[in-house]
Amino acid sequence: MLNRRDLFLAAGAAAALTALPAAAAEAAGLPRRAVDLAAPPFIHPHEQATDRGPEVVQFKLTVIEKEIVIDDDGTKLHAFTYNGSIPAPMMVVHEGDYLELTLINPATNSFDHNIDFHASTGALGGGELTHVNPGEEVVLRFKATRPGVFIYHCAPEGPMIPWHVVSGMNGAVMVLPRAGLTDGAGKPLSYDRAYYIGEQDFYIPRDANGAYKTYASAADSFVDTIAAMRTLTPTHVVFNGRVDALTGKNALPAKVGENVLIVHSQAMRDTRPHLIGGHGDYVWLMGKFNNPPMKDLETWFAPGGSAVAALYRFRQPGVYAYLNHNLIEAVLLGATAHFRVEGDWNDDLMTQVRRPGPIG
Amino acid sequence: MRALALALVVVVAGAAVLGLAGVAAPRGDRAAARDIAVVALPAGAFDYRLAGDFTRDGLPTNGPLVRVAIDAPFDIMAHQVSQRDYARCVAEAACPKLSGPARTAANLPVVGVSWRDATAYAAWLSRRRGEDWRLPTDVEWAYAAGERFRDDPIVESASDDYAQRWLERFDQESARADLPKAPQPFGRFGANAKGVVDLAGNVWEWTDACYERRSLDAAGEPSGALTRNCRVRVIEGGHRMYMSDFIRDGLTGGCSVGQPPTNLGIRLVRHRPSAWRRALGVVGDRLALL
Repeated sequence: MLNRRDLFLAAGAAAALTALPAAAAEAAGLPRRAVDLAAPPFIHPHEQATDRGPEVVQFKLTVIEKEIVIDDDGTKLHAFTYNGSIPAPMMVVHEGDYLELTLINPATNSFDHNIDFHASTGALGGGELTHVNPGEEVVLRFKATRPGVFIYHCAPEGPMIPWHVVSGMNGAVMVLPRAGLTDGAGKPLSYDRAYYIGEQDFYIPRDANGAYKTYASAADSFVDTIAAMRTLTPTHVVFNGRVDALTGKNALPAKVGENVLIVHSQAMRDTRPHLIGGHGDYVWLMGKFNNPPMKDLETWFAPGGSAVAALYRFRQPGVYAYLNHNLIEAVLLGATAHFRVEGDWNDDLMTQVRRPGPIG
Repeated sequence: MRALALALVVVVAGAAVLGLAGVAAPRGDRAAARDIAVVALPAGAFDYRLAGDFTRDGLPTNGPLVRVAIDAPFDIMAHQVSQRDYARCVAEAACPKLSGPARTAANLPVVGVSWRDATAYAAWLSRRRGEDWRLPTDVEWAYAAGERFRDDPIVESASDDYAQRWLERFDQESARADLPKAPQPFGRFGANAKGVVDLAGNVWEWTDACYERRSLDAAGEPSGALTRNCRVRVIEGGHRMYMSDFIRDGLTGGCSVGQPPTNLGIRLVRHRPSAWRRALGVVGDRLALL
C-alpha cells in the first residue's frame, strides 16, 4: 500500500524523469555565477534591473544545528539553520535565471534536512529531491519563472516539517523582474537599500513552575516542543532570530530621501508589518511583482508561508519602530525592529505646536 | 496565650530601650531578627542633577545640576533585599506574591518587583522591626551611589534639530552594555567607595521620587508650572529611568527608544529617629502595655 510519503516519492521521481533533463538542456549553455550570501537583515549585492541574459546563479547553504539564545533571559533553543542564521539568507535572482543550490548537511549534524522553494515548480518545491543525511550534499537547480519574494524552508516529513521550520529553517528568495520593479503603470521603482526581515515564532517548553526548559539535545526537546507547538501559542515571535536582534545598537540605518525596500517573511503564521511613523509607499501585498503594488498602506500583511515586499522613502529623521502590529506579539513576544534615520526634520510634515505642560 | 504574647512584647520593648538590634520577632521566626547590614551615611552635601524631563525653548535639555544638602545621617541597606527576605513578607501576607516560581535564595536579590511591592515590603519591615524603613528619595540614592551614580546628561549637540537630539539620545541609550538578566549573587558587582554593594549592577532600584516635568528659563532655572506624576517613579541603577509604579518587569519593544532596566529590585534606607522621637517611642510602647 502506498503511504503519503511513497506518493511524494513517486511524484518526485516523475519530476526527475521528465522535467530535469529538459531544464538541464536549457541551462547548459548559460553563464554561471556564484554568489556569496549575506546574513540577514542584509542581502547580498545584486542588480535591480539587468541587461544580462539569463544565468545560472549558484548559491551554497550549509545546515548548522546549534543551540542558541533567543532572548535576554537566556532562553535557549536547539536551532536548525541554513548557514547559521535565523532567518536563512535571502537569495536574489532575476526572472528567467536558474537558481542552483548546493545544500550541505555536515556529518557533525544529527538530522536529515532538505529544502522546499516556494519560488520553484515541481517535486514539492524541490523538497523531494533534496533530502540529505548528515555527511551528504545535494545540488538542485530550478528556473525562476515568477517574479516576487518567496519563502523557502526545510520540509522533511510528518511532524519534522513544522518542527524544523519553527527551529529556524526558513528564508526567502527574491526573483526580480529583469527590468526591475515598477509601480504597475510603467513607472520604474528602485531602492537605495534593501533589508530582509524574517519573522520567527518559537515554542519553548516550560517546566511546572513556568520556567523555560533546556535540553541536552534537539532530540530530547522534541516531545515537549511538539506539545508546545500544538497550543498554536508561540512563546516568542521575533525578528532575525532573537528578541531585540534589530533594535538599539542593531537598528537598521537609513537616510531621509532614501527608498528602502523591506522584505518581510513569515513561514508559519500570519503577520501584519507596520512602520510606526511611516507608511508603505508601494506594497506588493502578496509579494509577487507581476501584480501592481498597492499604495500608501498603513499596515500590510503576509499570510503564514509567504513574504511581502514594501518600498518606502523616508521623509523624516528619527527612530522608527518596525513591528508586527499585533502589538502583543511586538512588545511582549519580541516582534520589533528599529530604523535609525538620519536627515533634516520637516516642520511642514509635523510640528509640536505646544510642548506638553499644564492644562490651560 | 494572650499573656504570653504580652510578655514577649515587654521583652521586645525592653530590648529596644537598651538599644539592642533586631529582636522584634516572635520566637522561632528569625525573619526580621537578623541584623540587616547597612552602610551609615553621614550628613553632607553633593552635586546632584535633578530628576525629571526638562525643556528649554521647547527642546529637551538636561536637568539643572544643583548642590543639595543631606541634613541628617541615615542608613542604607548594604545589599539589595534578598529573595528570602521578600518571601517572608509574602508568607506573612504583607507583600504581594510575585509572578513566576517562588524564589527564596538568601544570597540573590529579589527582582520582578513593582514600586507597590517595594513599598509594601518597606512597611512590613518597619512594622516588624519597629524602625523607619523606606524607599530612598532620588537624592538619597544618588548620595549613597557616589561615584557609581550614572549622570547621563542629554548630549547637548549644537543642533537645535529635534530629531537630531532624539537620535543622539537613542545612540546613547543603545550604547549601554547588555547585562545578564539572571540575578547575580550578592557582591557580584562589588561595593562602591562608601561600601554599598552591587549598586548599578543588573538590578535597578526603586526610589520614592515622582516623575516631574518642567521648563527651564534662559538662565537654566526651573520656571513655569511643575507637572508631577506620582504614578510614575524614578528608578536608579545603570541609568536613571522612569517607570509606572505597578510595573515589575520593564520591557522594551514597540516604543521607539529607551533601553529597559534589566531587573527591578529593592534597597531601603533607614531613618534614625531623633533622641526625643526615640524616647517618645519607648513611652508609647510602655503605654501600649497598660
